[in-house]
Amino acid sequence: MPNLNNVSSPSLWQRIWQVFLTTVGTKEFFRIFAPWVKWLAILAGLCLLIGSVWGLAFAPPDYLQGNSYRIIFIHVPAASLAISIYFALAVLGVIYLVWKIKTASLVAQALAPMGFLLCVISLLTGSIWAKPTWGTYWVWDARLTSMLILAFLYAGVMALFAAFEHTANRGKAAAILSIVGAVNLPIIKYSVQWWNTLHQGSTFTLTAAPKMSADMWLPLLLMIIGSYLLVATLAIYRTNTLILYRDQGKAWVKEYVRGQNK
Amino acid sequence: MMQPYFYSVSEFIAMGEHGVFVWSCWAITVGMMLIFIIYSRRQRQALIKQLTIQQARQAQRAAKTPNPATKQSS
Repeated sequence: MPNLNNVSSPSLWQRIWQVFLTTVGTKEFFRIFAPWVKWLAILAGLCLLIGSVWGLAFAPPDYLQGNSYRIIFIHVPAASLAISIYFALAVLGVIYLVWKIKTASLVAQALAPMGFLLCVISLLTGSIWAKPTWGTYWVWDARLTSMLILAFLYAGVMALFAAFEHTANRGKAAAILSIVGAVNLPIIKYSVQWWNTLHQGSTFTLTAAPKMSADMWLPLLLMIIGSYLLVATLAIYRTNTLILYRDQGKAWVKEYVRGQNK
Repeated sequence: MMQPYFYSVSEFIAMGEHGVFVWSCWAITVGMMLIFIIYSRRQRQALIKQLTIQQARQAQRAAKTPNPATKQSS
């Protein structure tokens, strides 16, 4: 075949990359992950139900805090997720900006409100827990302040998604804020080590045994697992809604809508 | 297996004088998450409804114009 424009034929790597890109498209994401929603939801519901009943009714009280510590079963999963989701936003932001994979931007757009909500929940429950424990609803220590900043970063990401929704640069500004804001994450994590904070240090580490008895950290683990499963469920479900909206002109979406109305 | 820690329902609700803190936290969390889940479902249902209406309208338009050369954007 005559090579008139002197364009080099794609190398093996380029061809492999092209094939990979077709597997991470919106249609593939929808097709692969939509069936997961129901099962993840059931699993999440079970974990959260058992974890809640266990933590509220069966676990023993704390020797210092009494029964108010039971807020931990919400506060820790919410805070953990607020941080993890923002980390995911940063990673997805990099993937979208560098490799232009649109699905990454859609997953980030679906996740951002969830991260914001969980960050707010962790701030509110932490504040309510603080009243009987520390005697105050709020203190400007490093951990609390950096979590409050995280909430504002989430709000910023959500606002940027909304602002550029109908433009050509959709998702790019939000991706940039997600990446830049990720500098807050190590500050949150290490704040209780670097500074003299009111907030307690880590109970769970990778190396040592947990500083909490099993009849307390087992329901906590169940709540953490259940919450992550719930977030995964909603992330897939909400991303798929965005995919249906963005690809509404495509034949497969029309076919899907027809199927929903049978 | 395990014994529940509380001896009665009223004790369970009271949570040893910390009841208002514990239950307000759980109420806020469960409430907000439920609202969010319901909101996400409503969003999807509204989208499907809107796309269905659009499809019906396009089908009507295609049925009215007898010209088979009319191309629908896909």
